[in-house]
Amino acid sequence: MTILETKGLKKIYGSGGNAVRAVDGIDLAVEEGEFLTIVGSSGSGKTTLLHMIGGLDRPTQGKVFIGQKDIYAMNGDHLAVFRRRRVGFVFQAYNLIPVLNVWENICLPLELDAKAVDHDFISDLMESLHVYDKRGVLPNQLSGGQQQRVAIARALSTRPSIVLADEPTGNLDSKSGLEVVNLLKQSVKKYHQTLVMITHNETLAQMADRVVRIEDGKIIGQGGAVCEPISE
Amino acid sequence: MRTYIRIACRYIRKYPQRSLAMALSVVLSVFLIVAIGSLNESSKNSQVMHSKNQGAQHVIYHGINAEQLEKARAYRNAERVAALVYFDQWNTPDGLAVSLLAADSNNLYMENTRIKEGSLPTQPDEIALEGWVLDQLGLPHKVGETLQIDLVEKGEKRGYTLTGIIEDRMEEKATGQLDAFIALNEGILSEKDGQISALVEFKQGVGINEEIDKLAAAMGLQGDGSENIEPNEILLSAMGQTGELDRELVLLSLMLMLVAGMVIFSVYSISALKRIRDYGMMRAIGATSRQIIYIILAEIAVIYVGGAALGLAGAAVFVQLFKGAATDVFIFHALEGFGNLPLDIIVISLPAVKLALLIALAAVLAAGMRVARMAALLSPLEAVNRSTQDEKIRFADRQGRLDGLLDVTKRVTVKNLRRNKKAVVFTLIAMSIGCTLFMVRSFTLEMFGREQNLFYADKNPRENDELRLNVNNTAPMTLGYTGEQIAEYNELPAVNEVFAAQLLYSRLKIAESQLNGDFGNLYVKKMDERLTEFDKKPGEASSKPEDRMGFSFPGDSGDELVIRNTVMGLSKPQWDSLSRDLSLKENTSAENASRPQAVLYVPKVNKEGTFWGEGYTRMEPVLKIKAGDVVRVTYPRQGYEKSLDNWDLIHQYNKYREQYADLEFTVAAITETLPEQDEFWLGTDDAPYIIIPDQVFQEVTGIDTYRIMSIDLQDAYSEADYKTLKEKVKQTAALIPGTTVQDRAALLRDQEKAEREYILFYAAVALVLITIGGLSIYNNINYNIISRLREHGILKALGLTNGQFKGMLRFEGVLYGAISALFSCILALLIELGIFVYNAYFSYYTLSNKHFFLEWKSFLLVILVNIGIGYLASVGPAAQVNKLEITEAIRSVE
Repeated sequence: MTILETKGLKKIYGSGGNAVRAVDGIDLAVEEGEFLTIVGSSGSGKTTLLHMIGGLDRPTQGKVFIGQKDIYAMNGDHLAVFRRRRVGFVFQAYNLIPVLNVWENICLPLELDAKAVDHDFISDLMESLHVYDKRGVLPNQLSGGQQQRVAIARALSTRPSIVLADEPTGNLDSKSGLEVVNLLKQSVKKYHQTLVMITHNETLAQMADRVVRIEDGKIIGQGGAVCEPISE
Repeated sequence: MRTYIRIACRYIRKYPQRSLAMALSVVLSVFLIVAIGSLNESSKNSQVMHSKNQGAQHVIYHGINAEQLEKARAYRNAERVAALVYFDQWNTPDGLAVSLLAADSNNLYMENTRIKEGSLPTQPDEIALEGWVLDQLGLPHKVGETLQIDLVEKGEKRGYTLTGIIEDRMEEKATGQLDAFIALNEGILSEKDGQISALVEFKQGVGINEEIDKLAAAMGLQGDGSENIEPNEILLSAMGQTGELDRELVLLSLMLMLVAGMVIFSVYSISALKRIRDYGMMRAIGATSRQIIYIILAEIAVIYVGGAALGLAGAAVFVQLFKGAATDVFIFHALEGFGNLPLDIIVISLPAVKLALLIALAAVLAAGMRVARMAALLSPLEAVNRSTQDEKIRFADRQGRLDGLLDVTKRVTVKNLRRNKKAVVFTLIAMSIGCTLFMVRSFTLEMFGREQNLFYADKNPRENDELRLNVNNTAPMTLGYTGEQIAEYNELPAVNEVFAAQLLYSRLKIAESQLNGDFGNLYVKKMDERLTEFDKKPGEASSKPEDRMGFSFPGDSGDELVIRNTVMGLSKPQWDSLSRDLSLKENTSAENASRPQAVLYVPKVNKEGTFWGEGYTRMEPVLKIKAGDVVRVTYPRQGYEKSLDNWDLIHQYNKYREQYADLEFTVAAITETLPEQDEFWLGTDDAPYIIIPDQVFQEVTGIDTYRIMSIDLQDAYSEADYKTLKEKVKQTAALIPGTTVQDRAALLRDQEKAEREYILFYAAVALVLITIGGLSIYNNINYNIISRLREHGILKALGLTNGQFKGMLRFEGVLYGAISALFSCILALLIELGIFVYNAYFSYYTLSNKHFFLEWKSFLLVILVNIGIGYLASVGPAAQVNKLEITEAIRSVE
């Protein structure tokens, strides 16, 4: 079943002769439980695509459906609520709240939703990401890998149907990066979630069920372990 | 240099809000210091000008001879010398006493008056009077008229031709001092040799105090002691204060420097932190630390010059608005002996301008130097990579009790506040100075206001009555105003209340043992000495022992003493009010019940038996009489019935004792307050008063008229009402010649105006301080919010709705305001407690009212203002952040 679908998605910055087409008509469908990676060179439009998929950046044109819902048909506040319930984000720069400790950062989306925290679930999640013993520590006292694991835990804490990860290993060394992606993959599998990950690390990309390659805002190839180019 | 200024101007334009905040701090500081300083100096100048109404001379040398007068006139540093000689006393048929003064033309200058009509007397039989004196004596304003004058000391009647009418002297008019001027000629000078007074005004620019001594030495007065030398303290004090900076102005300026300095410092630091990357870039491309410092200094110089110029201009315009305002408001330590005078002269105080420029410069330099130092120490690489976010977060992450009650957005806010301790402390101090000043001022104003009310209620309860008539003590005792006349006044719509009192000049028979030890004995002795002064005048009056004038006389029995006193009758409402206040003691014994009840007022004296003394002096009542005792009053009943002279009847007790009749009263209470008092010598409150209801007064004395009428007008009386009433009062006064009319309407209006202006003035000062403090709160909140753009972006990415976001920022603003309000309130409360304890127990004059109180209105206002500013400060940044896309916010590094 398709959990995520984009139709003719475009993001254009500027206008006229100065227009920059960051995303230029992308049609993409992701199945429930699928692990998809998006690869491409710097400036290819992959982060913009991910932001639009996650409801963070409004497209110039086109639509995004998550669970059959056109997310940009919602107003700002509805979209925010939808986002915190259905989408989990993992950023390259971790983006933890510096003044909140690990436990608070992980529970933050739940608390924003005024939902009771399921302590067993969060503890289990933290255990599986090896950050439970750091629960009272502030982010700046953690290593990059640890911070990213906390960010993953935060993304999964609301049991979202889809997790979007924007180069989660970009700030990590290769060993930590591999470990983080492995944990991410295991977690989404454990909690039956769909994972869309941006990376330009080909090795990590190969760990996905499907790889989509984009360049100049367009999908130029997609497939299983080997990315098949799409003919124009 | 041009490059530095160009870059500096670019930065000013790039950060308009912050530049404006800094400039505004400079503007407001300069404005306030210059405005207060100028108003202060202007009012001092006005005081000097007005003090000349009480005499333009710098000094008076009394008791000099003609030769000494010539020396004074010839003295090189003397600008003007006026000679004045007391010639005689003129007693009018109405019982008024006029001093006849022989004066030269310089006296008019010294008295700040002039001839309004006619000319000054030049011949021995010529005279000049003020218009109001002619009115008081019931004489026409007609130059050329001959006045028949009874000269008391010379014991003869002389005819004087009125040659001139002098413009009224305000001080003499207000106090009722009646003077008439005759020509000063050689004859008088030789007759009164050794009794001449020389009024001297020295030339400008000389040291007055030194000149006073030098001239005294030149006249050979040095060894005479200071009694003969009377410097014009009021003028000298007023002159001495001009050009000097008031201690309170300096204190206020320092506070402003602190507040404005902190605002400029924090705002500029924030602004500079945001461009530290730019400084790094400049350093990387070859700019030296010195050049960076020049750019910073150029920026603050532009802000300083612009701000100071605007502040000066604003103050110069602002002070002009106060022309005609009451001067007391602007002189922190008002000159003693002065009332409120209109502010006639407006000057821009140069010392205040200097102080303001210096203070503002110190504030901007402190901010500039810190940033300059920071920029100079920074390595280019560090500066380029510098981010103000997420670095070195050092705060104890402990779960506060409140944290559990707050939702996550508020928890984030609270934790950010804990993280930004320095900014919070800065904001608190900047904000609390203005607020605390306002609260403490309100408190002290209220505290002294309550004390003043208590004082007036205690010492002079009729102080706020606009018009007052008092029948002259020479008028026959049975003369006065009738109940009908008083009722007529009471019915006038503009009148709030008429207080009327009956008076009976009498004597009190006491046992010597009732005198309160040394206090009582010395009191009687001193009062007797004062009375014997009068024996010197008519000469023959003291020739016979029974004609002796005295305060005390031996009574009928061996230990009885008969001293002066006054019986006062109060109307029923006033008596009831007094009875309520004093809780009169019931007559317990059957014997006492037959006598009417009275309230006794006993004067208090110091251990020398006098009413004055330096510093704190123990004062005790002169008599040991308590509630329940019986007092015996005696008065010249027959003499009064025959309309004999009151003065003689009372003072020459031995001569008239056969005409005296006794009255007995039971003392129901002792009062320390006289509800009214006669202003004439016969009714002096230096002697005891017996107060009884008017009904009893009439029964026991047979007198049904009132000698005092005090009229309190409605609060909102019109000028027309006042004029009509004043005319009626004049007519009533004229019915009994010699009645004095006091008109306090203008004075009371001035006082009320001054009070209002005082409150407004300090409210304005506090407002400026609060505005500067508010700028600090605004900028700190603004900076805190803007610097956490990324954090807000993350929260939004995680699902923070717009409503939640706005709520979070509002909470932050309000929290800042609430903490600031709490801090200000605690600080103000502590200071107020300190002020109260000092004034209640340790100051020179301790408070009578020793109950601490909370001036809650100022607290409430401060809490509302702080929270309001905090709330408003969050609105702008919230809108600013909301404009940004989430993705943009997340990418932000600042």
